Amino acid sequence: MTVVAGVGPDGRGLHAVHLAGRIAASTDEDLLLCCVVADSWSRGSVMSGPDADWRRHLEAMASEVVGEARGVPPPEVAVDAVITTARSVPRELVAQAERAEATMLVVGSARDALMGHVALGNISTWLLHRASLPVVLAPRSFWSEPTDRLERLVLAVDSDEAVDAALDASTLLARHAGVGVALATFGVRRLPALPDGGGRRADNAVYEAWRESIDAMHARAASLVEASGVTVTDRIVAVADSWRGAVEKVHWLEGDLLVMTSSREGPVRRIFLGSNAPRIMGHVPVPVLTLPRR
Amino acid sequence: MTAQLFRRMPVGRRPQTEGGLKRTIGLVQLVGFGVGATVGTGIFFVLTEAVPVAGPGVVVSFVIAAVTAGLTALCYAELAGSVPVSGSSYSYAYATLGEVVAMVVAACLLLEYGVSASAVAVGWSEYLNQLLDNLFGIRIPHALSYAPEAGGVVNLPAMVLVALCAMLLIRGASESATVNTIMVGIKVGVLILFIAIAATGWNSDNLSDFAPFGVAGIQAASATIFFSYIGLDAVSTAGDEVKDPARTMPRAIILSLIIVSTLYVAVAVTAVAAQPWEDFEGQQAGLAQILEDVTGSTWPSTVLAAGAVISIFSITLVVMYGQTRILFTMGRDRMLPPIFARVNPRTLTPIPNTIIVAVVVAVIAGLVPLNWLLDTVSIGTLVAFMVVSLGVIILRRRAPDLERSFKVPLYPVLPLLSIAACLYVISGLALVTWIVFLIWVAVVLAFYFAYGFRRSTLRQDVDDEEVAP
Repeated sequence: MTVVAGVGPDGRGLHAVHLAGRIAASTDEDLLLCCVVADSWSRGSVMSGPDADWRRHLEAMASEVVGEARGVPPPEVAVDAVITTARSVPRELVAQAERAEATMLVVGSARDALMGHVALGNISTWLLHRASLPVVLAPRSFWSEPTDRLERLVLAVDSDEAVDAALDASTLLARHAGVGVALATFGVRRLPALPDGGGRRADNAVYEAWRESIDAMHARAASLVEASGVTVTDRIVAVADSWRGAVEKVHWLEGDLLVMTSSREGPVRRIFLGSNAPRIMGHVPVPVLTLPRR
Repeated sequence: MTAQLFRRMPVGRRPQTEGGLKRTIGLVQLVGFGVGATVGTGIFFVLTEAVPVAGPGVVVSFVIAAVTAGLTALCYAELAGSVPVSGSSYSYAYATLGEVVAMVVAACLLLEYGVSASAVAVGWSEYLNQLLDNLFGIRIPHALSYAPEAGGVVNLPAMVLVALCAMLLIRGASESATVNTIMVGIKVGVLILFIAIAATGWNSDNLSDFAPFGVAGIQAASATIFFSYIGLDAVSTAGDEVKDPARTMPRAIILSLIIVSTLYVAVAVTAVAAQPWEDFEGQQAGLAQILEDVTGSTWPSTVLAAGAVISIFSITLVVMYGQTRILFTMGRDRMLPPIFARVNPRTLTPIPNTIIVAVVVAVIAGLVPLNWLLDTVSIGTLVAFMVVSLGVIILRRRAPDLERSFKVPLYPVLPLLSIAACLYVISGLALVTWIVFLIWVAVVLAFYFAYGFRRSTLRQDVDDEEVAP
C-alpha cells in the first residue's frame, strides 16, 4: 500500500510531502514521491538544442528537490521517488498513483492560500473534479515532525447519503491509522435583522428541526462507524453566521484530518445551492481529504 | 367535539433565560425595528387606490389606520409577553383560544403575508417599469407587466421578483443588520425626497373639495391603507428581549407609529396638494409620476423609482420569509402536511415550504391586479388583530395570575377600543371583499376538518395517552 505525494520541480509542494509522510507513518504505508516536469511543447517531438538544455535544467532542479524531499518523512517510512515529464501534471500524477495502486494522492495548496490554510489551485481543482482516488490537500506551509502522527479523522457529513458514501473509506483509514473518528456538521444560520410575521425568533423552530435531523443522522452514522470497529470520539455540530465562524467553532487538533465527500448533484441543485465543501475547505486549519464522487 | 375544536397548545412555564436570551433591546433599537419593519410596505402604491375613494380626506384615513394599528399592536404585545411560545399570532391563538380559532387566524395570516407579498411584488413591477422608462426609454411590454384584469397577460416582473426572493431564502440569506439599516435609510430618504419636492408643487385648490365622498369614503380608504401599517405587529413579538418591557414596549410602539404616520401623512398631504385627487385613479408608480409632473424633469422621479425598486425588493423578501416561517410552525403542529416542516440539512432552510410559497405568491402576483389584493390583505390583517385583542381579554379572565412581561394600559378599555377600531375600519370594506374573505376562511376551515382536525400533534398526543396502559 502506497501513499503518493506530488511535489513540484520548483520545490513547491514540500508541505505535501510533510503531510504524506505523516499519513504513511500513521498507516504503515510506503511513500512514492512524484515530481512531474510540465512539458506542454515537445513531448515526443524533435528536440532542439536549447529546448533540451532547458529540460535538463528542469530535471536537475527536480532531482535536487526530490533529494531534499526524501529526507522529510519519518525514517521508518519507505520512500521511493519518480521524476517524469508530461503535458498535464495532474493527469500524470493520477497515472503514477494508479500504477502504484496508491490509496491516496497528496498535493499541496495553491500559492495564494492563507498561511496554514487550504486553497484549491489548478492542479488540485482538476484532481478534485476528475480523480477517482482520494485526494488530500495539505495546508500551505504544513510542517510535520518525524514523530507526529494522525490523531483523529474529522468526518464532515451533511446527510445520510454523505455518511454512506464516506463510511467505508474513512473507517478503513481510521483502522489503519489506529485513530478515532469525529462526526462534524457545519451550518450557516443568518438571522434576519428585522422582526417578521412568524415572530422575532420564528427561525428557532426551523433550527430545532434541523438540529433534530442532524442529531438523528449523527446517531445513525455513529452506530455504523462503531460497528466497523472504530471509536467515535466526538459529534460536532458547528453553526455560526458564516462558514468561517462555523469552522472556527470546532476545537481542531494538530493531528486532525478532515474527510469530505463530494456528492453527485444535479445541475439544478448545483446552480441554486452550490456545494458547501469548497466554502468550508477554505477556512479549515487542517489537511483535507476528499473522497471521489461515486 | 367542541373540546377538540378548542383544545389549546399546552405551554410550559416561561423559563427564566429562554435559550440564553437576554434582555438587550432598548427603546431606540426597538423604535428602529418598528420603523424599519413598517415603513414602505404600502405607501409607494396605496395612494393610487385610496385617494379615488376618499379624496384629499385620505390624510384622515391614514390617522385612523395608524390609531387602529397602534391599539392592536399594544394588545399583541401583551399576548406575546404572556404566552411562552415564540411565534406569530397563530401560535398565540393556538395557545390561548384553541385550535379552530388558530386556524382562522392562520387563514388571516396567509392573506396578511402571502397576499401582501404578491401585492408588494405588483407594486414593484410598476416602479421597475417607470425606472426603465426614465433611464433607458424602454418599458416591459404591457402584456407582460400587467395582470389579465388590468389589460395584460401576465405580470412577469412581479413573478421574477418573487422567484429571486425565493432563491435567496432557499440559500439561507437574510438581511444583515447593516444591509437592513441601509434599506431603511433608502426607504425613509426616498419618502423625504418626495415630500420636499412635491411640496414645491403645493396648490391649495386641490384640497378645496376635501372629502368628496364624506366620512364613508374616508372610512373605506382607511381599510385599504391599513395595509401600509403591516409590520408594526411584528415588533410586539420582541417582548422577551426588551429591557424593561412594561415601559419600553408601549413607548416604542407609539413612537414608531408617530414617526411612520408622520411620514405617511406628509407624503399623502403633499401628494394630494400637488395633484387633483381625480388624477390618482389608475396611475402607475404613483409617487414617481407626481414628482415628474411637479418638476417637469425626470431625475427626481428616477431617484424615487430607483429607491422604490430597491426597498420594495427587501420588503418582499422579509414578507415572504415571514410567511414561510408561519407555515413551518403549522407544519410542525401538523395542521399542514409535514412537507412544510421539512428542513434541508445543508442550507438550514425549509426548501419545499419556500418553493410552495413562492409558486403561490408568484401566481397571484402574476395574474391578480393590485386593487383586488390590497383590501383582501387588510381584512385578513384586521381580523387577525381582532382575535388577538379578544385573546388578551380572554386570557386575563382565564389566567389572571399568569406572569406577563407587558400589560396593556387602561385594561379593559384599550383592548375593547382596539376591537372597536378594527370593526370600524373593516366595516368600510366593500361587500365583495367580505364575501371573498368568508369563502377563504371557509376553505381553510374545510381543510382543517379534513386534515388538521385528525392529524394535529395535539390529537396525536391525546391518542398516545389513551393507548398507553
